[in-house]
Amino acid sequence: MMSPGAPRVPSTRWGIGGVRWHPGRLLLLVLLLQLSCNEEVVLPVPAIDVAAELAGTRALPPAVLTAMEGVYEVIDGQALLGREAVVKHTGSGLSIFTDRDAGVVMLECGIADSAIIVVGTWRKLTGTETGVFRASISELHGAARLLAGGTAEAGAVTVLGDFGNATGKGMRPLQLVYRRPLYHGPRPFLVIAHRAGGRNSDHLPASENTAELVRMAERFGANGVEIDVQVTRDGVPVVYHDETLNLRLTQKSGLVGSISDYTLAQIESFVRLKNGERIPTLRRMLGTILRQTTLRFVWLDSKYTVPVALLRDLQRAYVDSARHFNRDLTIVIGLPDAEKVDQLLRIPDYEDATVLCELDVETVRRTHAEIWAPRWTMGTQNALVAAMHAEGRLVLSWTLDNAEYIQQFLRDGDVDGILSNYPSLVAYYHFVQ
Amino acid sequence: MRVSISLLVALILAAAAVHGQEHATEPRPASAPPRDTTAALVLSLGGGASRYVMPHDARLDIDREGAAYMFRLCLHTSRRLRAGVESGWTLFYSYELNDVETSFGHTDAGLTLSAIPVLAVFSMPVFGSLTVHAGTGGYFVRSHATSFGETVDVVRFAQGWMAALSWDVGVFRQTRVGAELKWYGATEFDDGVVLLQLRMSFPLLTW
Repeated sequence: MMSPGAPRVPSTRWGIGGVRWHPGRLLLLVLLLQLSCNEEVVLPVPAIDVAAELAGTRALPPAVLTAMEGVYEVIDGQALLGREAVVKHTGSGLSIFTDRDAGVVMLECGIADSAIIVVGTWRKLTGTETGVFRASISELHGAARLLAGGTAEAGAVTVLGDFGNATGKGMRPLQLVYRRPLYHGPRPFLVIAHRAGGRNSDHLPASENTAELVRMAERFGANGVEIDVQVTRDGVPVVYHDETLNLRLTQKSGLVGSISDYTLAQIESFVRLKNGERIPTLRRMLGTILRQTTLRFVWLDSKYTVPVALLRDLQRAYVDSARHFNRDLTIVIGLPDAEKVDQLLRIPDYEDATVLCELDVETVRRTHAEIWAPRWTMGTQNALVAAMHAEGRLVLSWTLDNAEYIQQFLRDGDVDGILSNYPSLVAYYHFVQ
Repeated sequence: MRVSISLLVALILAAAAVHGQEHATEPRPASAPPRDTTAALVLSLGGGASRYVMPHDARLDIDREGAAYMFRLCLHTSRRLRAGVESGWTLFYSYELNDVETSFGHTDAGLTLSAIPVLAVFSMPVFGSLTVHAGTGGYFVRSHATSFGETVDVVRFAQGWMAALSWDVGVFRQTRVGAELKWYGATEFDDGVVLLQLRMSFPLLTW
């Protein structure tokens, strides 16, 4: 210890709160802090060529895919699928939904000899885990029955196979046995994927609010999508969520500001979304939904400067197109705030527009909205939901991502659909009811 | 990232303050105000080169080198810690794109990203004529983009910081010249440049 009055010794170390810091240690601390704050997500892509694996097989008729739908007991493979899994015909193949880490398996199918072959990838939507999935239903385990046009019955259909990690290694056995049909309820239920696909976009080679992601939405269990609409400086509605062009959604381009600062030509010249896509126009998104999916519900969330009248014109045009293609497609204009409500009420024939209102029930009535969409934190609100139903309106809840609350809304509530970042989780809990 | 940068600025300031206390009894540094005054408002002017140092999208072949200019108005008192404001102009980066495909056809395009810093700066001489500077505030970041023959300019404010080390010597009365190595970080937009500037400083006002 230094005695009082002793001369101070010049030090090359710095002190803070009694702790002596050598410059090298200080630098190390700063580097550690820097490294700890930089999260780099590595997205593995499963090593499987689905088309090659199904080469030589015959296509499975859609009716057979629908006949395979059901709730299956998981005998082997509970580490991936839990104790029960939902098998659902989606797109051109099958999806399997599980409550374990919001897991989803996306499968393509074929017929080889008398067996049904299913090949694809699994993904846990709460993280980056993914891998390969190979299975089959042999002739004796139910394929003969299904291919002959029969329906699945409890214990009569068994799926056998294996699953592994993204490199196709560490394969583990898999056995699923059909137990019961999917729950469909007294009326259709909407599973709506947030931002065209939900949080899945963080871990997939497709950015949120893109045509690429909307094509996957059905595979995640959605039968509807919510997309965010803004308008460019030259008045073109485009699909983009955030108020600014930022690094959460776009690759670094040097354009600062918001969508409305630039023309569509300028945005297309400079901006690419996280996974390299262009920011899509609303027309392109609606065209993709109409022609390349079987989604039946689109929620246009009107953001920032987009005029409701512009959405009304596009809604009318694409509802007409859907009718022309004999598609069951409902497109609704979302009203998130009083400004958008005022814009709607200024449209001469606003009563004809199909509208979803996120505000109180009196505003729902005033705007002649067909759908009331309260935030999930307001609770199940069964009395108000019953009142809305009595007036012929639907009720949707947003944005529910927590498994416990999803179950609570399905069990105790009476909503007609749920908007979620994890549509596979909503689909699972809905179909196993 | 933002947390670590803020911490870095805080550590530099704290270290400088501690060092300043340790050397409080040492002779007055050359850059202190003249003994017959108690305070001086010192203007520093600088200019030099900048290099954009943050990672960038690999699809764009950006030009990272550019020019930068600064001015700093700093209050010097008998205390070692000085406070002031800094502004100026710096290029972040620029790039050209040839034959970009869009739904409107093909075009050549170009973009320049530059910034005007608006920073509160704290400075302290540490070793002789060596001074550390740390600042907080932000940058008016400007995109100057051209495509299809049309140019657009958009400016947005980004929060940010700066850290610098300067060295200078007296050349004429109270005028000093030297060099400054500096980091400008517009953290909100994840942009940052390192600058090497020649600088000149002189008291604008003394009392």
